[in-house]
Amino acid sequence: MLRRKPAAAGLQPGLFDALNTASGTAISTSGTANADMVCRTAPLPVLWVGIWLPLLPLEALVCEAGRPAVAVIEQDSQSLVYACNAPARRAGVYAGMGLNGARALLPELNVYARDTVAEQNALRVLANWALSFTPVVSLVPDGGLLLEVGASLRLFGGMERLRGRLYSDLRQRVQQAWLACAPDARAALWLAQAGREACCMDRPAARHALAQLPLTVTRWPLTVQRQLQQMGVRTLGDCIRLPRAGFARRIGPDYLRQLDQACGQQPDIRPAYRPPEVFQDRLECVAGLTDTASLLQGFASLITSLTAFLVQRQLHVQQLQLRFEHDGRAATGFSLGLREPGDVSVHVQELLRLRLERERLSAPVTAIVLEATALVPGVPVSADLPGMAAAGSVVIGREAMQLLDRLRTRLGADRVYGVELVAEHRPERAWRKMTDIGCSTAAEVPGSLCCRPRPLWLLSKPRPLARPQQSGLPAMLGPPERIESGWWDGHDIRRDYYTLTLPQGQRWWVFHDCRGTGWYLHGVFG
Amino acid sequence: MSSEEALQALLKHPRIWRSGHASLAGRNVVSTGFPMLDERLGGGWPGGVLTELLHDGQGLGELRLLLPALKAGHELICCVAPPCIPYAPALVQHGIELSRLLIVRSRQSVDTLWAAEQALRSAACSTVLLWLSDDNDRGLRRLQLAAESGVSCAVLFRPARLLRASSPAPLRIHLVATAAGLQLQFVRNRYGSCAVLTLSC
Repeated sequence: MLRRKPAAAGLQPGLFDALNTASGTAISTSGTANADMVCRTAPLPVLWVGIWLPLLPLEALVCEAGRPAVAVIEQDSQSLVYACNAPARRAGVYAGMGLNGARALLPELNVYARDTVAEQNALRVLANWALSFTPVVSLVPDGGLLLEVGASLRLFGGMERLRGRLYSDLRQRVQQAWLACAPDARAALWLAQAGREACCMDRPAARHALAQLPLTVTRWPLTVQRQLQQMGVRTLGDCIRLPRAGFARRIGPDYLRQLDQACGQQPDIRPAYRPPEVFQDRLECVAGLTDTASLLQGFASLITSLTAFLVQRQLHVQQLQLRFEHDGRAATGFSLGLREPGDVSVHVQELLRLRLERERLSAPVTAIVLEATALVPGVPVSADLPGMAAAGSVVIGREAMQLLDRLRTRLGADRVYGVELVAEHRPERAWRKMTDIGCSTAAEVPGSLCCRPRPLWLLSKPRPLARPQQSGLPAMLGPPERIESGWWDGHDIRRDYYTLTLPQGQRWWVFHDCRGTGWYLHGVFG
Repeated sequence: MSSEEALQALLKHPRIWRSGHASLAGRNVVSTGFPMLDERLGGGWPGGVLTELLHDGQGLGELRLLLPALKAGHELICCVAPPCIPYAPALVQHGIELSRLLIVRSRQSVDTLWAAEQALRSAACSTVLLWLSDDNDRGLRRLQLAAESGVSCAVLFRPARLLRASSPAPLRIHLVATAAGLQLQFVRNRYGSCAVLTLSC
């Protein structure tokens, strides 16, 4: 029903990237710029894990599971199979063959055009995941990831355990992933691309493993590969054994540099992946949705990725923006305020349900977008321990924040509020609404106000009374309190306030407007 | 012997109450601040149940009756759909911490009941006050269940014309203002006698 399509994340080449690149060029001989920058005093062994995703072009697209499918590219006005899944491969389809040939083998083949944008987005999602293992992650354009894990080995208990965790996590995320590790980034990548699952902890071992790889793992242009094959070069080992000067002249200095990088003789500077600063995720609905339940289901998966994002960046979200896209109509949406920091997943889903029940969708929804607009650095949430509340202090805990969020989501933010005092003589201005509950500070209250009688209930608007003398109301109690203030802001008042006791015992707070002649009821003593 | 035991077990059932035999053990009460009323209610305002106060018109002392109890505790005091503005300066004069006050306005009684239920189910509020003017038996039953799920005091204010309307509240008091003070006519009192009580507050 729903399919994930993360919108282009707000990737900015941040300071971190600039630093990486700069220091990489400065330390030109080491070939391990990132790791050196991180740890200069006590160098840790540099170890790159290469992850290659052979099925990424298909996984990034919406495919029916279990059906043979291929992603095709156009080359020289001919459609070529770029990637194929396992059922297609079993029937004899392979990457690089013509589409017509593939169709001849498998008439029921599902054919999709390759979508590089979708691939990049899928790769970014994986890179976000990879950041939980190491801070140095780099994207490889055609469907690979490079992780520098030298500094993470101790934390994860060694390479074998780390590999095990990477594999088990990857299995939940992608259909197929090849993994290899080597002391150099390019070596790790090539080993992974070959699907060798090699784990080389030092350069000689890596070199030995590389030597047996076929030339195709280099992904060099076919003309170059053919040229080398005609020279009798079949493997990378053959390539490395060729005279360097001749190789550079006949094949190209670029390819020689790549070989040197794989062997650790040249620096290999990889741009570090920087996770997006803002969160925005989008889910396309295949059929237009109208019912709340399906929408909630869609949002649930968006919220899961939001939670992962927040955990990773150690952020809390204060406001969420939700958008519904419709066919041929302007998008609709609303925002959701969150008072309660911490774990958002369950809480947000409940708020969403409340809000969506109120929402009337004007048209079927074709896509939903979730955007975190107000992010704040995470503060550790202190648990409400019994006995923690000091005398006189008000504990506004998580429970209260969640209650506030729930009430505001259904009733509207302006209908749920606290109150605070204002240093002001005019009764209607002596208080104000406050959106923050539990942190009102005692306002400077004029001393005279503290001992004057004030009613517990104030009418929102003074109600005119018939003149007490005429309507036979009992005599006034006590002397009047003159309130005269506000000449400076245009809401000037001049009133005499009295406390009035009715025969039944009710007490009213009434005033006589000294500018007119009217009598008004302004409050009752509750 | 066995029938005696069975009877005792039956009498311990929470849905069964015997007038004059209110069991005080384990009951969660908040002192009302009026010794006579405390005695009548078996210790104070009952927590975890719905208390219904019926009265006509504001200002006969219905809030003053609750003020001593409201002062206790550090949790939120939630006012749902109050008929007028709870006036902050007066509340401060009576010793209520304003930061504990949470006011919820609602357009319809469905929202009032929902908000009160949410507040009761959350452990954040020590007292939930709500004002209703219509008769909604099902809504009140839900509210009573929500009150039972926690320990907060739930106080429902309704007009006196609903005196005869059905209500799940185990404590219903009709408030009447008299020259001598506030008269409490117990319509239903699970915790003590139903004789009329007059308080000067």
